[in-house]
Amino acid sequence: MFTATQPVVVDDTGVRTGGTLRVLGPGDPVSLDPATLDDPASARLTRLYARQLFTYRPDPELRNWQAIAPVPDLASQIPSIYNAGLGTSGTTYVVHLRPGPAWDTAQPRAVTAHDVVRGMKRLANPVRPAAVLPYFLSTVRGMAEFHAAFRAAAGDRPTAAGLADFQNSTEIAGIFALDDESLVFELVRPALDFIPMLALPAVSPAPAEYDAYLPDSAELRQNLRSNGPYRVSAYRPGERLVLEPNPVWRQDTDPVRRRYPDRIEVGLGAASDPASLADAVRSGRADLLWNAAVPETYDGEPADPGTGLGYRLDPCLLLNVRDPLVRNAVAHAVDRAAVARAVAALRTGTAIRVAGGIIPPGNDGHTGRDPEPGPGHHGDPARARELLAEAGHPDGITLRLAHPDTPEGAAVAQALVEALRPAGITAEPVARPVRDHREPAAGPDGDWDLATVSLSPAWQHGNGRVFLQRLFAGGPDPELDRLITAALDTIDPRLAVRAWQEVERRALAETAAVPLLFQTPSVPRLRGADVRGAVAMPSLAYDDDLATVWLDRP
Amino acid sequence: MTQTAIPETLPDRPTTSPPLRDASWDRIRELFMLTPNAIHLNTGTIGAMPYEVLDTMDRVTREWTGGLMDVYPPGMYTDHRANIARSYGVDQDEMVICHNSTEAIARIINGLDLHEGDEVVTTTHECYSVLSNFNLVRNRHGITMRTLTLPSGYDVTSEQIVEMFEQAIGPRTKVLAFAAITLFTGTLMPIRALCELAQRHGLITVIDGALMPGMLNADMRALGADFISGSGSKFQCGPLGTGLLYARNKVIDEYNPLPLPTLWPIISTWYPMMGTPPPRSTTALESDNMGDYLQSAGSASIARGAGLAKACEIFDQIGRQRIQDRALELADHGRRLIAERFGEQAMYSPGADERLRSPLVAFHPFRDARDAWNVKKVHEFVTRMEQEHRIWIRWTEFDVPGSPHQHYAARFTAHLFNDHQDIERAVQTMGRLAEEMS
Repeated sequence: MFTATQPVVVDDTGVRTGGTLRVLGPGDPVSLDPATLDDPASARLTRLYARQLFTYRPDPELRNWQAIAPVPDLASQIPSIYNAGLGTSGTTYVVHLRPGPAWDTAQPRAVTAHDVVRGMKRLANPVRPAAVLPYFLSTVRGMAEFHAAFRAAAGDRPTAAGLADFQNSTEIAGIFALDDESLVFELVRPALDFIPMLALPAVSPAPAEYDAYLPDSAELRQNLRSNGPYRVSAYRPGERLVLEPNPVWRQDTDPVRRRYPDRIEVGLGAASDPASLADAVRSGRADLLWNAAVPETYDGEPADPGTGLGYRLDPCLLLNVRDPLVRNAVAHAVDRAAVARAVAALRTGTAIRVAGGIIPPGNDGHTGRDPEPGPGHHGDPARARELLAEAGHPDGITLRLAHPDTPEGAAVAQALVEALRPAGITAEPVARPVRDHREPAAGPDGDWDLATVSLSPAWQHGNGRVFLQRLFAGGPDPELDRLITAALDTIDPRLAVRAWQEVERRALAETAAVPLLFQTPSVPRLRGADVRGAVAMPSLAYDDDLATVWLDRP
Repeated sequence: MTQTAIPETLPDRPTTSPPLRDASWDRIRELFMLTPNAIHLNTGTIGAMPYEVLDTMDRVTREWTGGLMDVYPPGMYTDHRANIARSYGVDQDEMVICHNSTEAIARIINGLDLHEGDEVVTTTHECYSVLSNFNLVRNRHGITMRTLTLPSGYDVTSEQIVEMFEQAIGPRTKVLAFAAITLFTGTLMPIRALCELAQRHGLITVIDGALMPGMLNADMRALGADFISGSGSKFQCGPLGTGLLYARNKVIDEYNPLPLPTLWPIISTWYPMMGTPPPRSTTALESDNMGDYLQSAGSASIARGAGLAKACEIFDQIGRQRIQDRALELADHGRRLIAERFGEQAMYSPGADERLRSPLVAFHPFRDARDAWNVKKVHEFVTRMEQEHRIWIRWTEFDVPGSPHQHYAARFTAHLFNDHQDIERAVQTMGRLAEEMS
């Protein structure tokens, strides 16, 4: 009854199989270990070898509801009241695994509920926890306690053996396997977004073999295991990643992925210059790009794509400055129009809106408020100077501006440097690897004063927490934490929207952050002439799913 | 506060077939279409129809098939409603035959005149149809819900339950909604006491009485509720696709002195097409036939209505008090055996307070308490009872106060067509199977 699944039926009519899919991109994957994963570029790769309980199916028509609705992946069905998978109080989920998926271990073996539990424990690892971990700490019973104990046990010099010992001797109270096929999640409060949370790429089962390595360590990256259609056959950091067919994967156990090319080669470490990347595709040296937003050629300004889906917050300026007058001065000094011009000049094919709030359009809780202050979104440097003087900085102030070391990150930082200067704020840009940047924790230990971040909606409905909990939970403002908890406690979707808007209001009033722009892809990404079946997925920040692509060439 | 062992009851109606009144239970059992060589202990889900009900449906279907008669008047079930209403101490204008208890409760909940900020106090032990429809109203009108988790276990008392509801009532509370008998733990709720509580606070009472018809010899008016839904195919043993809806349509101070609550009879043919119905009655005489508004919903299955009426007639002939006593006595027998075999601590159903006992008994069958939150094990237990021993029970799922877990229980249901042997064999078999699986 519980593990019964609909047969996976694939229509391969007209599809050409075989060949090598050549993917090219700058840099190295931020994560190859799913437990540490939170960037879409890495998720595009792990999707090929690390399946989740739930995921999204590629749908070329983004206006279809199915394009953004989680579907069972390793799970046999979406838990609900109707299949006894969800209790009436909304705090108990029972998930059953579909029969068939297996690990490509020396002796292939089935993916079990115990592997899912192990994956959840690794998600809470103290070495490099996933950025989405706060969602789970505030939702799953015992997860916060487990994480705290894990951190304490790991100490300052964690070892793989030490982590494994802790994991294998300590349970998360609210996650337990009933047997190999079924497990239970118990929540501290009902969460209407719990299935989308479980569909995050970081929430992947882990085989016992991973106990031998530190999370996402260089050693682990050389010993990745697969339960997807491909497996990593070679990886040279910063040079290339090769994926070949996983012999134990079966199409009839996987409702969303396909395996058409015989081989996928990802060229890493390419120059990040969009023009040279585009040239590689147009000249036939690459089929698809990776870790780079290079669209097809377009004229003018990209318009709203009309999908109704949520924009991303990109960029947003976080402030790690104690004095509220200085924070307020920064908020007055920023010239959003200048930042928008800098981003538009990169020609990434996104529709751009100036941000007046933190929750972007198309996401639950977006208010549509205008940014303040000043006409034309240019800021008000004169008022910023006054505020600085009031704060005791009549001659200006110097602030460290951390940003990701990407072309867009650098362009935004440069625009901010110039925009803040008339207000007497000298911003000193500090480029940081994406791996280390993420959402830097505010507080006295932070080695930054300002930081630019961007956040995509990891799911599309009931997603108030995606922006506000991730940015502000556990920060220096206890009132923000209280409001976040209140929002999480609100089940009625309409009231929850209002509760998240309260969080946003507080964050803006206290200038915990200065939202700058909202963006959403509008122009399709550049694809090679032979590429077929590529589908842009909202869950991959509108990049193409590599698991459905085929090549129309001999 | 008054509280009797069971809700207010009516004297049995005089019948035209005295033999059934005095018939042995063995003879009565023969009236029902029971699967041979099987034990049916799941009336909480679906009852067994009497042969005569099937004959009636067949006859009426043939009478009305292919004819050119006016199908609308009999679709109002005027006489059937009058007869059934009498069996429950109410009037025809307050009784509706609908398709099932879910439809009845949906029409009640969605017909309430609730607005943003109004609060409903209910429990996590309600049927899905109750919680889903209140959520629908929450989404539509912005009401709020306060959902209590009922206590469970052998020693639960009526006073505990009433106290829990009383504590939950707040200044915005407008509705008290609860099951007459909970389907998960088989708790016969202190209906009259809760209705009195609601009346003291000026609240509307909505009772999910899916399990009530055919189980309790209840006087719906005397219970003091505003609305009660009921199934026709569970304890009442009528055809699938039948249900009852009671809507209080007159004010009788003795039972419920509160003004009649506004009810919008959603799904109606004969609600006025212009203007409004007369103001609702403030006396013991109805101002309008609310039952007709609700009953009129286009063409209806005349045969199903007749089948339900026949089932009710048979129950009247047997005697509703007699049926209630029989079902409770059989369940008590099973409860005693369960307590002996598994221990009182295994019980989720009340036992010590006889006022809360119903013919449904839910318990934890395994030695390890942690198996109570293993849905697969409880499901396997119930499945093996069915497949290996041809004994039909079911499993239920519910919250337990203070426990972080969703609990799962085995539940058996006794009814008039069961006998002591059924119960004893079932408990023995469950004991052996649980032992094997523990």
